[in-house]
Amino acid sequence: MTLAETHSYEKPEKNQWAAERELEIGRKIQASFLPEELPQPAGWQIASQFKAARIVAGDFYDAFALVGGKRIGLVVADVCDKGVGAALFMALFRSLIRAFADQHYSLGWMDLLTSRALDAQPEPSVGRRRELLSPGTTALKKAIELTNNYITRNHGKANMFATMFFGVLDPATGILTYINGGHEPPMLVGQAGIKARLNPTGPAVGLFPDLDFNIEVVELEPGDLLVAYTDGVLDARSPEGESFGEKRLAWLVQQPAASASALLEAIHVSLNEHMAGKEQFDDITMLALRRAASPEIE
Amino acid sequence: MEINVRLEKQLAIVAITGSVDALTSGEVTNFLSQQIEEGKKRVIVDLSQVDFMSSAGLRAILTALKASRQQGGDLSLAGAQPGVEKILKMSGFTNILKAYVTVKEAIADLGA
Repeated sequence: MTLAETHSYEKPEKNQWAAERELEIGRKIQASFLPEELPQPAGWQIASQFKAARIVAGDFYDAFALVGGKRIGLVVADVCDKGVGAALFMALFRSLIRAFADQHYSLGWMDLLTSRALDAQPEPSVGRRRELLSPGTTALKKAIELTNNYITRNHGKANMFATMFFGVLDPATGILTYINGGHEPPMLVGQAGIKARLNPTGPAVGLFPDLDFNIEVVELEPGDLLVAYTDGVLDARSPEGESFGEKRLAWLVQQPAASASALLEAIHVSLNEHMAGKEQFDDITMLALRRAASPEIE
Repeated sequence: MEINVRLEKQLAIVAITGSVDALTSGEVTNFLSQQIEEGKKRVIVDLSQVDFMSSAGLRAILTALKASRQQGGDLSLAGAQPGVEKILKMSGFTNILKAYVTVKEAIADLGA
């Protein structure tokens, strides 16, 4: 065998090795776009489960402190399509949401000005509603709107969008202010079962500029649990082709669990049993938020 | 997945059969962009035989929607089955484009 032949024989393997190495680097960098640890405000548990279908993922979750821990931002999102393209946009969506939220929560005093200005107007009902939503309402809305406009104006040709649940929790009161941009509605579970589904309040983020995203408010009472997830949970298939589905998930979230992470672990085990070794074709992401039943327990 | 087109009342009616997911969405994107490039810029996508649509499928629809509008046309959807309809509604696609219950209804509303 001549040297040239050896070279041409080895080349494809080398290329494959190089590509795999690059992808592995991509995977590691992407992992750094997920939170290393989740904030644990007093009286609350936050837990996550994340399992990519491929080496890199389009799903992501995030949980981060805002205004020095007075608020907690919670995100579960699914960037459209799969593979490296979705992974690159995951990094972009995640960073924009975090950066815009952080920036605008630092400017939270503007909400006070806004609500006072509205109170002065002759429409008390509007004023009250605005005041109820403050502070931070502007920041939540701004973070989503600016992300939507940034993606559509700077990356419109890629036609990449993300369905996204973004909630901001006030750990002191249990008030969760949220925008659901076209995402699977998280389940709010109380002692007596599912209390609410947090349905979309706007479209997926990144479709067209200047779309409307509404804000909703929900209160997590002591003992309440919120489970947000991506469609990879519902669409997980058994070897027979049956989807895991909403009913199974709804049943599981209502089962007693020692903690938020124990609950997600139980769902994870159930998903694995359902898939029974069948290849996972979509990313699976879950985020759970639980308020302690009584403050003394924590 | 199968995809074909017929013309009626100056509308391109693109019928898809099967699943539109990460594996097949590229083909859908190529097919739709070819129609639009050929001047068939007023498009109805017949989803009545689509049993599953993932976000990759939605992306293919979004790409074609933008392309058709850039050419002065438009893209509408028709006949989505309950599972697909749920995805279209949830993601807000029904707010950014017209979605009809049947192709017949779409043609009656949009046909020249």
